[in-house]
Amino acid sequence: MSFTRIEFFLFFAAVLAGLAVLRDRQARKVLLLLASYYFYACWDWRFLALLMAATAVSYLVALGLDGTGGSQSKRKGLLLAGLVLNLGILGFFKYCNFFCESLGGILSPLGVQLGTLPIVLPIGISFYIFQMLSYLIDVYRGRLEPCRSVLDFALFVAFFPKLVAGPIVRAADFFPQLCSDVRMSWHDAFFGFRQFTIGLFKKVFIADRLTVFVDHVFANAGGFDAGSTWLAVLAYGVQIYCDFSGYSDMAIGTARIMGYRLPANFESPYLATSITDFWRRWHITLSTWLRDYLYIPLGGNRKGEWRTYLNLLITMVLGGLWHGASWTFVCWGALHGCALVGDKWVGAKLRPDRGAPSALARLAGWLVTMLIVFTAWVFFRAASFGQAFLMLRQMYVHPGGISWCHPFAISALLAIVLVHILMAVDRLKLDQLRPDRMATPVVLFSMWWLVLAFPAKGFNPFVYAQF
Amino acid sequence: MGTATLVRARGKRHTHNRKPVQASRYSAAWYLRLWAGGFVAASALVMLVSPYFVSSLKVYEWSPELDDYVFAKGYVHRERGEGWAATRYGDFGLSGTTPALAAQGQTILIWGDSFVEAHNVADSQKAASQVTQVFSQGGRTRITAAAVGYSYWSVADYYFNIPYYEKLLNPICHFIVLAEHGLTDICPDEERFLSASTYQFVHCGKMDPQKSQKMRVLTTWHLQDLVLAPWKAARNVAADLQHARFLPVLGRSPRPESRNSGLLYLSDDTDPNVVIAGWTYALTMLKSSTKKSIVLVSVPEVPVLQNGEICCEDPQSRWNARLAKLCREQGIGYIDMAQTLVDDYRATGRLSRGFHNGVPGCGHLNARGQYLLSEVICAYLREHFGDSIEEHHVVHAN
Repeated sequence: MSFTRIEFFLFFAAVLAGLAVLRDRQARKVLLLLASYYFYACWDWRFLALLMAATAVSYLVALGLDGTGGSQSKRKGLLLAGLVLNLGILGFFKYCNFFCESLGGILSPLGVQLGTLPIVLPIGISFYIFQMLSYLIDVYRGRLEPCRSVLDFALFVAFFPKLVAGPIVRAADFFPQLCSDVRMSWHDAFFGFRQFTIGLFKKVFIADRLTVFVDHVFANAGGFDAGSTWLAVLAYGVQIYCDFSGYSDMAIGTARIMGYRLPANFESPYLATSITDFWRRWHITLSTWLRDYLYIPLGGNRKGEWRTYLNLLITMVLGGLWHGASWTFVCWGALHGCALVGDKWVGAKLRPDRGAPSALARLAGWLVTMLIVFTAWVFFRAASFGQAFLMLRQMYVHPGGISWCHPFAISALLAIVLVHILMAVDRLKLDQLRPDRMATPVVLFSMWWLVLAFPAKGFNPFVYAQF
Repeated sequence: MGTATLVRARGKRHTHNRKPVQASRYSAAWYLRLWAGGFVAASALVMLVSPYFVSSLKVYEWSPELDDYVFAKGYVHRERGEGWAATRYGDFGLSGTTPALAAQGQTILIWGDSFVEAHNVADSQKAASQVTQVFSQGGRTRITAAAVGYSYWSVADYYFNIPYYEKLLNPICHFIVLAEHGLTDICPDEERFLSASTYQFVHCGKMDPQKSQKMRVLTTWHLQDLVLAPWKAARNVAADLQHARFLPVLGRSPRPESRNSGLLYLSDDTDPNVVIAGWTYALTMLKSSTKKSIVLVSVPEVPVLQNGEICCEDPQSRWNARLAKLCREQGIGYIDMAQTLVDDYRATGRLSRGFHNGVPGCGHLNARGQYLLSEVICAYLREHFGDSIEEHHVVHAN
């Protein structure tokens, strides 16, 4: 069940009606859990059992971590068991065939043939596994007391707005809301509706309409001229941003309408003036997760300059692999890792004083950052290295090809640039869309009209839902 | 037992802060008026803007001479989905020039589906207009070409309509353009026709008279463009509701992409005997509908962009050869445009199909494709009707 389908609107209306009727906190949570399981089963009911089993195991491990009487080795063992189990599920479903294929490629000269398994990737697995990992680690570190209520823990894992593609919610942010008396209000309903509408517009009207153009250029990499290829890569940058931030907006908006708060996932990433800044603005819940549960445990920046660079690289490579079981994702992560290392090095060597950079330096930083980010998108989107290199050849070598000036892609790019310029100079803010302003209903209803009347053809699933 | 609580230790204490909701300065009625006004303003805005980006709704009228619904006289079709052009309709649902009223010269009819309808290109760029232009001189028109094309038409539609148009326009020749997915347009309903035990052409009006009446009323009141957004929204919601699934499913994709179930291409696996039997019936029926010359014009999908490379090989060349042979046996002319299209691409680097707001190399014929179509028709006319026509060569602007 996708946020963009009519089924979801009817389902959500039913959930809201139920929440409006039910006064008892426990009953409301039961309703939300059942709704979340139904929501997940609509994708594929077979994986509901997997979700429930993983939930049960993590719940028990966390309780065990609390009840081992302070024995550090037992706690370590339990944590290890919990991590191995969760990562094992993720590894089997997401990476098994990837490693088999990669290993097969290495061993084939020796005459060893490795086959692949007919594995279907359960939707949202990377997101809910990461949530449970952070929960277990937090309990182990003593930052969080384990959740005693199965209902609360199951709802934390399966809460339907963020189940399929995040944001990756920390237990510390979510459990207090389950303890408090969350009620729906007109205030929350408005802000939720506003965010949902903007997300829906970004996804259905912009991202989905760009898909046709982007897909065709990538599928025919090497066939289009430099201008068209650049346009497609820029359009993909807009598409993936509108697709994923649109999903996040819808998730946050849906939860907000029900009275729950989810963390922000994006903060105008294409305004970033350095690659470090970009990762503070793009997929914030993943980058902070990787920072807290991977980069810092690896040593962070506490073990010297070169170790910091290595830690950054490892973190970003694994972050790339998290996105998908393919070497192109690893390469994408590695590129970002190298860019982060470069940024850190430049910061340390050339800007040791850490003074505020000039406007010109910020502009130059923005240009370099965007060049890196959009070039790296080629590897993120490409189906293979061959395709990626063909795209890069067209972009940077200009060997000629067919010209395709897709009008919607050009219009969307211009509109996005304009919006970003206005945001950069503080002339456009989300806060301007207040409920007591005439422009607010005009903007929001116009978005609904455009989404309902002029959607892209066919069903376009969310890009990040496949991760 | 209670649920999880946050602990003291090294970690920060996480609290769930909420800003207190400020009491509104305005009443509920004020908000209601504001949001209702906003809805009206948004609706008006979208309705006013949408005609610039959305193709117009088609307006048909009943033609007693043709005993069928045709595009209404005076209707201007605005195409925005693939290409960006306007098509003006005159008498008998014919676009561009109105050959019936051209008292001089001879007439040819170009039959086809949306490729001949050619809403994607301007009237002057349509193949029929270009043929007429080639055979015009000093205000005198030797040959007037009229395009009789409607989306989804096949040979069965030409069979039923040829007698009516012949009565009105008295053409010297009928050109039938086969451009949609290779050669499948020869047979109506594609694979359903071929899989039937006995072949039959059955006339059925596809037009809904009530819908047509409503469209004419809207046109009379100049409202047809204003209803575009609400009409499309209502249609999309209705379609979504129709396909909605509320039960948990087994499998990754709860809603697979719907694909045209029809026969898109004739593959090498298809039994040639079945196809040739179907074709034979279709061509025999077509031949029986007129005493005038008939010429089939095959417009294969070449050159086409495949995996980043231009492919100039027609995947249906074998079937083309079979059809050409069958046409010769039936006394029907046959033009295969494959080589013309490939040669033109090699000479100019331009693809004959596709638009910037569509997909290059795919879909309908663009201005270049229409020009090439007119070229082969002109060449055929020169070769077979050369004695009876004087021509004036004009330099094409393409």
